[in-house]
Amino acid sequence: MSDGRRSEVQGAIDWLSGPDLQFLHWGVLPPQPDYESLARHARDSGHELSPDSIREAFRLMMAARLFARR
Amino acid sequence: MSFDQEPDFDLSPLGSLALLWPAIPDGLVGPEARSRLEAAAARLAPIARIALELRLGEGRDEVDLHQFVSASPTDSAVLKRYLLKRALEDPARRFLSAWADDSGGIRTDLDGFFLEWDGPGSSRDGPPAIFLPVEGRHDRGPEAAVGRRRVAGHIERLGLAGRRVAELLDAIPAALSISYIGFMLGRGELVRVNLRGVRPEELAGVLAGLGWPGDVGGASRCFAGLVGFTGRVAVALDFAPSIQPMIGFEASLPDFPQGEPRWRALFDHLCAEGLCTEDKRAALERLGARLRPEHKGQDWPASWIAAAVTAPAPFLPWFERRLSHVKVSIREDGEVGAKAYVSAQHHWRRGGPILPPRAAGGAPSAAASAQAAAAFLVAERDQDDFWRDFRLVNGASDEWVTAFVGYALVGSGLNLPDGLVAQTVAALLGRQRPEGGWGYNRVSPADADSTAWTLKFLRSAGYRGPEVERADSFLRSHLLPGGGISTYAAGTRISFAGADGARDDSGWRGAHGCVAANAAGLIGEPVAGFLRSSQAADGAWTAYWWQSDVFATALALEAVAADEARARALAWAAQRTESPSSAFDRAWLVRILALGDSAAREKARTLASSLAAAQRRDGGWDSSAEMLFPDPAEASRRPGMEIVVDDGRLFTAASALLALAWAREADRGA
Repeated sequence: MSDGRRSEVQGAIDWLSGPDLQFLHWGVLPPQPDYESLARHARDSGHELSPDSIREAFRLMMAARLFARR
Repeated sequence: MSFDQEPDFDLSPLGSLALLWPAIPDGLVGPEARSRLEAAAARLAPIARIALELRLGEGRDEVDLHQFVSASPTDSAVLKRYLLKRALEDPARRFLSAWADDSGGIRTDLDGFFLEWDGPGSSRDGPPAIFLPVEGRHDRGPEAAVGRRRVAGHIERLGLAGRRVAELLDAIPAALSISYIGFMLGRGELVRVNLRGVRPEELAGVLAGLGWPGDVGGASRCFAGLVGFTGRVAVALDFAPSIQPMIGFEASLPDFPQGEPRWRALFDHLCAEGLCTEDKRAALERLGARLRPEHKGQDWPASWIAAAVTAPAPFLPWFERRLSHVKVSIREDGEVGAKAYVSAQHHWRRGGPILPPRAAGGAPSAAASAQAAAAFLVAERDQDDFWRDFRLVNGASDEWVTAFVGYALVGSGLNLPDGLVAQTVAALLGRQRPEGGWGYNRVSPADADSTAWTLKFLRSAGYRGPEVERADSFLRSHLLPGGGISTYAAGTRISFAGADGARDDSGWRGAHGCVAANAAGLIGEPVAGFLRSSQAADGAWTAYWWQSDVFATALALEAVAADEARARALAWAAQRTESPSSAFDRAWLVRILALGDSAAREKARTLASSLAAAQRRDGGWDSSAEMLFPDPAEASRRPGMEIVVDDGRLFTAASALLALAWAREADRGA
């Protein structure tokens, strides 16, 4: 992963771990795997994140949780 | 049932559909039906456990929608929030409110319920049907009667289906197990009753007893065919209030079609009968998947992401879509149709299943524990008279496991249901291969170990027909120079899925200590001599197919004379009792120690008591029989081999049942 990409994914991890997402109700978020919409929500709260970086950040967070449980 | 608290999040059922659609071609669910289902799913309580009911015939595209709500505090909290927000007018509201509030203890009494909408968004749309569980598979006698009364009480109190339900449940013979009762709220007074565990030979009598007005012969043939394919088929009968001529048979299998060859046979039958199109079959056989958000390329529904990242650390979401069961229905006019049920569910827990709790009020006596274990095994028998356990790439074992469980039940010395032993004998004899042996299951070649267990069972059941002699010859054909026994004989053809051409399977054809230990009692010399010469220095016999050596050592000890070899094995076993071990190992340690002196027999009794204390309330134990699945080329056991446990818990329960009997014998010898 390049430095730029790493920084982008780290930004997405920070956003997913922060308070913004927790206050989004599932009725607001699209029910399907729609990462464009997630990126728009991030932008609304001042975070410029690509759909791909959110996808990768989420995957890594879940993988880390799985690893920590072992 | 008790539920540990799961994270309390609203999870849109639309997410389930989103993860299901990629596996569903238009031929199974068309674009219009998808839109209607999505609109309906958006109106449901945010519990992401849904299923689709799909017609399999040509030109049939109606789709029904189901949702499962559990008795967990989490589902209750979600339902309460949902009911506050929605002005529901349909007749199900009273029921949902009662469930959320645990009114009258309904949620305490029942594990969950299903809601079913016929053709949501179509002209058939209406209020949902509600399906409630009535009796558990392991409920029996007074316990089952209490279950029926409880459910009837809740139904009457909530005014769900009038007073006739109690009468109906009373009228169904206590010997039948009622799995579910459904109220077709959209269809007047119609009540549906699902019966489990009916054997094909019994169906005609059951239908006659209930006054069923249809073609009993035709229904029985259809039912027997389905039982032959899957072993577990529920009978669905409608009452309005008298019994109706429509009948349904729900055939289920425990695994994805990719890992369960019996699905293939079932679909072959449905397609040959014109009940399922090839396209639909192909889609259903492919759709099973378990999706995990940490997997690369896996897109998780956006609406589920907040729940996933904010849930407490131990909870890791996953999603499963699977073919649950197939239903074949015979209408009043004799027309036969087939439907498939496809579930799409979000889960929070990974790992083993949630087991029933251990028995309350302290450990049961050894006698009570043995009775409960036998009842557990009897209730777990499939309707084709086979027991099934362990899941390998070629499906679950039935022949080998049935012989073992049958041997344990007979060996327990307990009274068994009338006809059970004879039915088991007949089921196994019906599977004997032309060469004389039995195998892991129908699709596997005959092997020495399965044949040895079948011979032991037939002998214990007192069966002495000509099949025994043929089986004995087959078993002896596995003798190797030096007295060892191979699992598969040199001439046995073993097919491996996906293997092009010949594959090295010499490991499976080598001398296996555990198989020799099992066969030695049937063959005597030279196998007993092989065992005496192959005992390890520490006193154990090394297994090839098992992670632990206790099982093989116990079987070997039954076959070798009371000499120095036995003394060493007893010393080895006595040492092992000092550290914790699984229920399976403890059971076979009991076997070893029960063959020893008074001090060893005392240890056997103590171990048997510890087994009784570990018994679950349903009469079983935790899965603990760790079978190995070595690469066919590997000649001996090594660390890291693939372990396959008895996920059905039958092998452990049968072993524990035998152990309790041996401990009883040890008591007599004391």
